[in-house]
Amino acid sequence: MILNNPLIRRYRYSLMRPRQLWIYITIYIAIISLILFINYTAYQYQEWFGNQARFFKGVCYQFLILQVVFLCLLAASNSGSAIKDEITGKSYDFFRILPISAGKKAVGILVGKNLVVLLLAGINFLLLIIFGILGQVGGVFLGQSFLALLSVALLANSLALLSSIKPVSTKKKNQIAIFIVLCFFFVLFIIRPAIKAFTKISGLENITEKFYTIELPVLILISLVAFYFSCWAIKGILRRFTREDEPLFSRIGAYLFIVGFEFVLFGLFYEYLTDGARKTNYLYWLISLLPVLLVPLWSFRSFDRYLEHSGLIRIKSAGNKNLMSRMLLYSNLPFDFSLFAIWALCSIGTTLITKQGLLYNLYYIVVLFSFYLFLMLLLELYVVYKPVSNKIGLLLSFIAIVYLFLPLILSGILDNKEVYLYSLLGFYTRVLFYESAPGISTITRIWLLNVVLCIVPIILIWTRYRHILTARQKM
Amino acid sequence: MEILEVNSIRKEFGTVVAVNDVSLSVEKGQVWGLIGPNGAGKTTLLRILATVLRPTIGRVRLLGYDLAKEYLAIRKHIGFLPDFFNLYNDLTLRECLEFFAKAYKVEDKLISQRIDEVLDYIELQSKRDDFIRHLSRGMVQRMGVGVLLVHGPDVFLLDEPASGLDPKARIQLRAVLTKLSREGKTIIISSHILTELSGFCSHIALMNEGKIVLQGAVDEIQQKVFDSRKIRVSVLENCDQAVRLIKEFPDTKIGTVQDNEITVEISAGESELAALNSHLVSKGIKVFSFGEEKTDLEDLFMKISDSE
Repeated sequence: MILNNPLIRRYRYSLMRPRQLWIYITIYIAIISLILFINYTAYQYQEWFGNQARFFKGVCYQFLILQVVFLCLLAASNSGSAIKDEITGKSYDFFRILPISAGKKAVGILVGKNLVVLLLAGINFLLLIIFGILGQVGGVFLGQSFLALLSVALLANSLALLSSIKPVSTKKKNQIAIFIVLCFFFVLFIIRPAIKAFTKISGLENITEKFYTIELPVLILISLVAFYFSCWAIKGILRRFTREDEPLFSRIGAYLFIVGFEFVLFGLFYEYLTDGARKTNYLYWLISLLPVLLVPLWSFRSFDRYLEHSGLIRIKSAGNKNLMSRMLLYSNLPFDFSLFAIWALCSIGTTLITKQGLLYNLYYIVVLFSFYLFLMLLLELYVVYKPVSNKIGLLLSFIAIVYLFLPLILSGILDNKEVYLYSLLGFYTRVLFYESAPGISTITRIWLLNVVLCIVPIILIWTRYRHILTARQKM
Repeated sequence: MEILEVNSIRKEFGTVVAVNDVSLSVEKGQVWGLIGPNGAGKTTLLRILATVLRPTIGRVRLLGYDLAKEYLAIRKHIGFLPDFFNLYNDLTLRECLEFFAKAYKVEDKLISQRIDEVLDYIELQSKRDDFIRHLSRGMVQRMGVGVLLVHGPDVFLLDEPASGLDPKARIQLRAVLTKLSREGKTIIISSHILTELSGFCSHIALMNEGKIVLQGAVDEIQQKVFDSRKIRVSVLENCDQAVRLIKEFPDTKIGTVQDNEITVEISAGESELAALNSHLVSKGIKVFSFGEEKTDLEDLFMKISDSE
């Protein structure tokens, strides 16, 4: 059935021509011959392995590494270049309007573009199994390793494809940032089980880590986390193939992503949170705040969408009553605030579990919200002023960097122990690493400064909203 | 039967309005030429109809399907040839057509036959097993039409199909498109090279700055725009006398006189034209050619642009 996919057929024609195929197979045979030759020489003349079973086991592990290279590196590179090939080959418009579902397009690329790699990985898998049996490698270990390998390969390939899809109506290059961020989250999630796994490589299949109260082998846990992120990457691909000019996350998608993120993170942290450590609580806050800051970047409604919406509400409403309030509700800001609200609720939850002082943590949440508000207002400024100036993003990024780093620099220059708290980074460092909390008066001053800073962006955004509505009314 | 209904669509890219309040109604079998200068909005309009872009405001119904919601269904019924396209260079012509036939869900048992028919149609049968990278630009352009033909779409959307082609390739492509129009296919074709569309379109829509400034059947528009006919009279001798005689004739205006050839604008019917011819002959003028010069889209476009 899967081979009936027209894209797979197209790639089969272009990639599996006998002349090309023989070259790949010859290279592969040369590599495995080299591996076997070096290992056998070392076994025979240097006594590296001790006995024959250990020799086979060693070769089996090397084939496993080769499998990682095939599935996670070569395949991901192929998946990531598929759309680029369509664009540079000037056939992307044909690809876009193919009347096949987004799912078929995704499968077509992920499988079709990797037909040669999959063929070689298949041969490698057989050799790996044979050497595994000869080397008496445990079946459980091999099974878990393959599960982890396949799920990580799926994640790498789907992320590579997702980040390469170019939105139709923009001149943006591929979206490599989403690749980096999701990889970063994945690494962040698996770092503890991964460290555990690498420190005890022998008997890896028996090392476990808790997810909530369930004990899971680390490789299974890594597989599940990779699979979870793969699902989001695949959802992103499907959305990009069906609604190219819309943001990567729909509103509901963004909420689900944040809730899912909190759920998985909470599961990984649960064991440590119940110990009641203050730092664990704030580390959880920090990690879970990252997607709340980053997801709005992939889900904001653009100025075009505002124009479209303002046109629609003008058509729907007989008069022009409440246009501004409807525009505000439709805008990105209420959405950003609700993402923060989800984070705040979860953070209150972890505060209660770790039995930290609730009132003081509420102050923290309010101050963090004021930081968040300013950053989201900068994002909204970008949205509404982008059509006016192409370089507005550069200016706003500069302002954001100054906002985040200037207090830290000033604190160093002035040798002042309080100024750095006026930066989100400084504030969080203090909360996370210092036992002594900033005083209420300091917290209030930070909050007040942020509120004052927000006034100018609010006025500018308000002016622009009014401009959109006025322009629409004149049409 | 109305096949396409475009209702007040507008497409904005930021503050740039690419298509502004465009409405269009196309019936089955009509060949529409979208004409206009570069940047008039022709490509944006075609890309909207091809479901590549979504209009900011307005509705489009193609074959009864709503473009905003049922774009997948629409894609099965249209054939869109973008400007500046290429095909899969690493495939042969047969493989490429097979890929598109599969993607457009042509029945497996019919695919081989369809490929042969299409290759005959675009006159590339002899190249069926050649790689696309070995084709000339003109052949690729014809192959582009072939890719559309393989699934037999109801509507062809062709964006500047002859741009960048040499005269020979242009003539060959034009022959393919003329064949299509004679077969009663519905075609919407854009071009800023007006001779490319002359004698080929049944209807035109003149676009300028995102708007359709004039649309309708070519004959009707010609009648509306040109209030006089252009006659070319060639005489063997006595050209000056012929000019004087023509000037004496009512509702005539001399255009150019060169090498015994006179162009005349006359705002009269066919019987008056016959009378003018008889008048010249009766006065001893040896007329060896007397005929109406057909106005083409280029004249029409210039005339409309001038009046704009």
